[in-house]
Amino acid sequence: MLGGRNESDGSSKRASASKRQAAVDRDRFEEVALPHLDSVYRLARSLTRSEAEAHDLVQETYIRAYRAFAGFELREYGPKPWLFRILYNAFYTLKGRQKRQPALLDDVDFDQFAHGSGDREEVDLASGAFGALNWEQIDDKIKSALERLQPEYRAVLLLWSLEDLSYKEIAEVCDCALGTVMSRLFRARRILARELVEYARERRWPTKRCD
Amino acid sequence: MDSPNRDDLLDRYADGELDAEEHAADVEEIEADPDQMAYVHGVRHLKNSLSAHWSGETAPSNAGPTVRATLDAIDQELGEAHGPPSPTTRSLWAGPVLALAAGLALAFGVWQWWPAPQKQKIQLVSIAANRVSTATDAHQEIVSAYAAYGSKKLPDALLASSREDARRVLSDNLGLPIQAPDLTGAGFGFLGFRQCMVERMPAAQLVYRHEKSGVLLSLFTASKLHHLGPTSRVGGVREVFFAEPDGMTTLAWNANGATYLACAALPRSEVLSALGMANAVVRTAGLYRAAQRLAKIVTPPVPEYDVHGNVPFAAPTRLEGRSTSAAREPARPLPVRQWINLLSRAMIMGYSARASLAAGTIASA
Repeated sequence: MLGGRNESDGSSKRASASKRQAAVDRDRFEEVALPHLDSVYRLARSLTRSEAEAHDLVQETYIRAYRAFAGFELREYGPKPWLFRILYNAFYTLKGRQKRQPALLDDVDFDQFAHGSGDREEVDLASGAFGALNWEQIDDKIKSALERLQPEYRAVLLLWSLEDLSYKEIAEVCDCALGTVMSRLFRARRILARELVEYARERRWPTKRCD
Repeated sequence: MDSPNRDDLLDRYADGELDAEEHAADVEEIEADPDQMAYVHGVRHLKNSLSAHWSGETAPSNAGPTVRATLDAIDQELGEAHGPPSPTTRSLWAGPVLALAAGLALAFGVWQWWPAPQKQKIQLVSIAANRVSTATDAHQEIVSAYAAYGSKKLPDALLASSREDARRVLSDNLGLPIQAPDLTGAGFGFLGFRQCMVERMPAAQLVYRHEKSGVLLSLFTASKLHHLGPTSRVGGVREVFFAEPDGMTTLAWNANGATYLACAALPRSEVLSALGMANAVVRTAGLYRAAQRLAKIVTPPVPEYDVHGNVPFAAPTRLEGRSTSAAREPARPLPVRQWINLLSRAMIMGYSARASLAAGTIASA
């Protein structure tokens, strides 16, 4: 009888400790992960282009993150890239892609984005037209140009610009090689650059020289 | 710009990722070239513009409550072992959620037609999704549902000249005080109703049609399907499950001792808005993947219809895994399983909605 009571007491204490630990984990998770909800949503929106799908993807991300939280350590990149990476994986899982296919991205026909040839790009960059754009007037054009980008390119642009992640951090998030990140980023920027320069030319906007 | 490497160096320089010591000569050349520096400035302007563009985008107001509700569900899933979230945890979000709920209270007035309240346990979408045993099982259940529909348990097609008819007939037959909500504010006129069988139990289907677009919206309610949807209100805000089999938005929730579903071939946000539930907490995690998988497997979902607008059976040849010989034989009613998991049940009702709408049971009668 005595032994049984001890076992029961021990079990009760363990259950109680488990509850306390769970509450601590939950609090800690909310403290670490929820402040990044806007950022997570933006990336989800950027990848899915759909508000409803982004909503679902955010939920899936936080579920996965919560379940994996016990094994999470605040490594050198912090919780945000960790959440981004989970989101990225969730996105591809939900889309039924078992394996990422960066090679396909490299095969994207960029002519659909550009109005001219590859030579045109060289002209724009070499002439400094991109740097001389009147950026205050071009915000709307950026929005429409972004909408036409492939999700993976848009996501890399977002991580680079708003989140200010380094190439290495973006590679961590996207689980791809550094070179792939650079390739996606540079090409995405050039696509935008071409569109913006073209847009300014069509409207004969005056340009201003940079310092 | 005379080689791809040159471009890479320029981009890396613009991003501050070029090692100045390692590439001292390159840096010097870039900084001495006005055109290259113009490009560098352009990249930095672009970065600022993109940042400004995206920083204005924030998560919807219900995203936080939704995530927390989902975490609650996980906590519960992890077991009574972990117990409910601690008071400290709840206090972190109870305030904002209650504030949100207060602002939404009027939006839910439309649901006052639900039967008398009863306490229900929160159902866990994540668990339910995990319990979707196999796609084949769900597939079988859908076929079974059609079979049950096509037999002597054909739905009683009824028409209503008014919502009062629906209230009287359905309330008597189902033993629930049912009223068809008024959705005219969302542009949906009441078209009619019918009584159907779901899991061998009577259920009510209320059908609305959008006055301009003609899109049909179907509401189901049944009295004994408590376990289908979430019953909770997060600080008074309704929680709903969502699945989208074959493009048919299907929302499910429990309230007041009954189960409710809304089905329409419309985006989820539009269905929620029409129901005055625009800010409902939508629980989709886990379901989403399963729904997508199942939606692929059971295509095409629309079966053949007979002249009476009834739904006899799904066409077996069009369903994966069915023998071709079955296609030539009249389908036999299959037993509807006593246990039907959350998702397949939602799909059954979703497809029932689709079937009845496609058959024009009400519209053409």
